[in-house]
Amino acid sequence: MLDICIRCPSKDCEKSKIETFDFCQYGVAFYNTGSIIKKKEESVTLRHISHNLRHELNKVLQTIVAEASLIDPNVSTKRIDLDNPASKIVGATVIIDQFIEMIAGVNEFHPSSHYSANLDKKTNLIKILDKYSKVFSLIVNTRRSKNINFNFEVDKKTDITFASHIIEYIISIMIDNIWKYSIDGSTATVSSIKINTSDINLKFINISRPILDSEMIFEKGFQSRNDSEGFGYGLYWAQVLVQYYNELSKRDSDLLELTHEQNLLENEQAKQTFIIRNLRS
Amino acid sequence: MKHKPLNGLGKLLMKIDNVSICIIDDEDVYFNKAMLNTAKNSGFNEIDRYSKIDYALLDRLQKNPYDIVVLDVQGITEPSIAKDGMQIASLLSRTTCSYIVITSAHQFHLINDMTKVDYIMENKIQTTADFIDELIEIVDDFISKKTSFYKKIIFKIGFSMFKKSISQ
Repeated sequence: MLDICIRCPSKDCEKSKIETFDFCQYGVAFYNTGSIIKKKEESVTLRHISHNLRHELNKVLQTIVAEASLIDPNVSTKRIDLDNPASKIVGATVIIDQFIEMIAGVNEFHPSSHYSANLDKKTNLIKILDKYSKVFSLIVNTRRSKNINFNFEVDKKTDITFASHIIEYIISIMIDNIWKYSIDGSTATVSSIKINTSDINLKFINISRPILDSEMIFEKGFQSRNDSEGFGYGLYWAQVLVQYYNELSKRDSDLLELTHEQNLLENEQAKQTFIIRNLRS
Repeated sequence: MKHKPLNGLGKLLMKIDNVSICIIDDEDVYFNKAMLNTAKNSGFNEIDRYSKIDYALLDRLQKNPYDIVVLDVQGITEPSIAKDGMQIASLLSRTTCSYIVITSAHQFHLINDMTKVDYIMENKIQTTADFIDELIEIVDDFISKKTSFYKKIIFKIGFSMFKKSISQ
């Protein structure tokens, strides 16, 4: 068996139809003959490239951030000040880091239940929302949205209390998408609704052009349009993280979910609603 | 906004009975000089920084343990000493009372392969201010998990004052 297959928990190749030739999510080419699965891993795997990419670029990003700290010792990756050039440099490195982490994660990540530290580390929800709404405003081009107003209907004291690093990543994907796909000058609302003593639902609403085939929105590589700003990996990665969160939380019910709903409006517009359900807070 | 008298008194008390911290990372840009200088100015004046673990340091880590040890998982050992930083972390967790922190550029990879340690530094890209924030979290957790009520009581009082001064 190939090295990458030994660690693979999903075994999608074994679930494929007879006479299927395809690549699995880890870049292994497979052919299902009906009696056996023939497999071939690339000589330099995407996983290997991703792993090393992150390892190499992390040092470069840290160097940039360290230099920004010399310009202003108070800059932080957790708080972005759009009026401070040094803070904007830090914000831009946060975006690159998130992107590399996603590439590495998609290609080398395998859910595991062996994690035993830091799961209970608390992170303030409003600070995460504030950070990423500013961070992703730093990218300006003709395809991205302009002048988005964010409205946070969230209690300032609400903390994410379980696996907050995973939730932060999912939230960053949601907010990046708002900056990618919203109608210029529209308002995006993020609201939290307490559903019981330990959980909230976190709802993201924005106005965009209608998404064709929106039921496919979480599929890997999904793009609503050919000229789309994204590659179609963010929401897929968010669902992988949701699965990972549930592995770690060991709950039998009230599992974390990420759902999407589209409501068509007038003038070629649509309301997009994403909800992260059963979020521990 | 800092509360200056409280900040100064807190740091003074911290220095009287400080926590000892050892950081081992082969890349100079992480836990760099500017970060360590700022940490010292913030009251953490017993921080030793190494790039590699040799036999002498391993001996020190076991026979005269630091309160807190921060280890990178890759590139800090020779094969004759240990396979990687994770193996050192595992060894120190079993044989000493040190509070063990591990760090890596590969967050999710790290989580998957992890042995039992006290704390994972999840985001390795850090500004100086991020480092101080995380150091405070680590020391906070160390105090609650690895010290008895009276141990390092002067440090605890000073640390509490210091935290209060920077939160005002």
